[in-house]
Amino acid sequence: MKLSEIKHCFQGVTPAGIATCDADGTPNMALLSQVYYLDEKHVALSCQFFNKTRRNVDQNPYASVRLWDPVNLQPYLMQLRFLRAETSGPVFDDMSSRIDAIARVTGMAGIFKLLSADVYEVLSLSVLEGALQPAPATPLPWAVDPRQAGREELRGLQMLSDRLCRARTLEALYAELLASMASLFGAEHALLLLHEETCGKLIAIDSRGYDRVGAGAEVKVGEGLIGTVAHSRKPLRLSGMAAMRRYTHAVRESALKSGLALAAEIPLPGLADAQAQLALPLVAHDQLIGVLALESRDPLAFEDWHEAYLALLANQAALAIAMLSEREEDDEAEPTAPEPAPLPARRRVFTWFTGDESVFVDGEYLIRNVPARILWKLLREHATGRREFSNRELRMDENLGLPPVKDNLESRLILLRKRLQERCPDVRLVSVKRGRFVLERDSEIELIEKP
Amino acid sequence: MGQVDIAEFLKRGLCVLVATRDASLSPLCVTASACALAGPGRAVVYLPAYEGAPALANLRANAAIAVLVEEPTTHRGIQLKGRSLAIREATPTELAHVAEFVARTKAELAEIGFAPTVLERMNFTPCTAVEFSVEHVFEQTPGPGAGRAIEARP
Repeated sequence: MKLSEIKHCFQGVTPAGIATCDADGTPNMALLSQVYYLDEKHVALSCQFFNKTRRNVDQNPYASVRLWDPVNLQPYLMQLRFLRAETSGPVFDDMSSRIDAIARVTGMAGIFKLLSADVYEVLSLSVLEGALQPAPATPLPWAVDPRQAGREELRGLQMLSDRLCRARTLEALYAELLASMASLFGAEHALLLLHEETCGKLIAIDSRGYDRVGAGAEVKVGEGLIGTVAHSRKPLRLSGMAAMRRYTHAVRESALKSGLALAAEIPLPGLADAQAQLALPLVAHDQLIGVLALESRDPLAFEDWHEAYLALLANQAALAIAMLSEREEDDEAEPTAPEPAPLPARRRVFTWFTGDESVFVDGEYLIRNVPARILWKLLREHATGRREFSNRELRMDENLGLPPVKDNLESRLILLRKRLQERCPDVRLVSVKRGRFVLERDSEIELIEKP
Repeated sequence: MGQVDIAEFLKRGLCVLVATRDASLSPLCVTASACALAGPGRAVVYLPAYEGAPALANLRANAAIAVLVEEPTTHRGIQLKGRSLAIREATPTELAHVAEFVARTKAELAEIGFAPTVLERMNFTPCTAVEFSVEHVFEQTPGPGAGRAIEARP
């Protein structure tokens, strides 16, 4: 049988067992967290601790690895021969970034890290006949004709491509992208973050499938799965998260007993019980635009080919975002209707904190940095009787601190709208024409400045 | 685990993996149905018929054995190393103990999300008993402490 036929066993959902033998003939049995498929004749095993397994294969290169099908627990046996330990290069980098991401989402950074990618030749692969009683007639998920599945996905890709090309505004583009993840690709939980180059962070702009949109949430480049993807600009997929959490938790307990200091365990973003995550970098014109992060409760939701075709659509989305972000065609102002009176007995207190440039509404944090400065300008001018504003005038206002090129103004306004929707729906920024919007409010607005 | 109570640990829901090797020092990993203590410094592991034959051939030739017992929900594990002393059919009493051990293993696997229909299909019997001397015990929970020799509590 071919190694590629059991690629789904390489996703870390069930750990593998490895038997080795030292030069004196004493066998050793250990668990492995990750087995990586390299090609039909080679696998790489993660070496995270210089342990007995590694010492044994340095003396005697043969190893015997037991893998299990993550769905039906069919066991497989691989007989291997150790070839080399790689500490740099593409295989090491790929394995290392996955392990770093696992470590970061489980609070194991610095402890759970790759020492080497140990490359083995696969001498034989066998299926353990008789381990399971005969299967019921239900086909396994991957027993679908892959050509047929591929066609369906290609159709999905084409539909998404059409939708992205038709989006006239960034807000529509973001909404189409996220909605399509669920309707076309079955990814119910999706989060879109944009790169904020000035502060080395990714800012969540919109999401689908979560309790709250989470607009404005920040992730540092290089931190966690999303930050790692932003840093490496390569897609990253984590499967079998529950199994990984159990495994890293065991390592954590063991590390604590060894007296090693650990950072507090950081909870996973999004679904607390995510079983699989896939993060895709959005890159256009060699610039990082953002990251699209998908989560699922199905441990095998994302496979190799998902990574490939979703990466393709991420590229297309990135180009579309870049193009729409650069467009600057504000319509001319026209007289706007007089503002309706606020609803009786409604009052919202906005507070501007000069020190950290943030805006609070009714004592709760709303937004900070550039979008906060924009909001404060709008609210102050609204207090003098203005109602309609243009993107162009915001770009001209040096006090807002927008970068001279690639200012992401439209995305910042979308973020501001989403935050207002979540925290203060009484105040809204409503687009009226291209590049123009009005500030609507249902309540009286009080403005306070504090140091 | 500075000191470990093996008998207590073996009462948990556990998976058992066995390493043997042939004359050319080529190792072989097989699963076992169950593991139990069999007197002072002695344990017994039960190899299912579907894959036991090559491991039994190795043990008859050179007796070297390593047995990893680990708890799937926590990955806590210990490794017992020694030499096989006797290879024989499991007795009816032993088979009853194997059935209890397997029931605990399946309960543990169910806890990490495997469906009853999946677990029902797993074969653990018939099996062959391999008695072996426990000469060394090692901490086997993954991490920096894995492989550390530990003292078995009498």
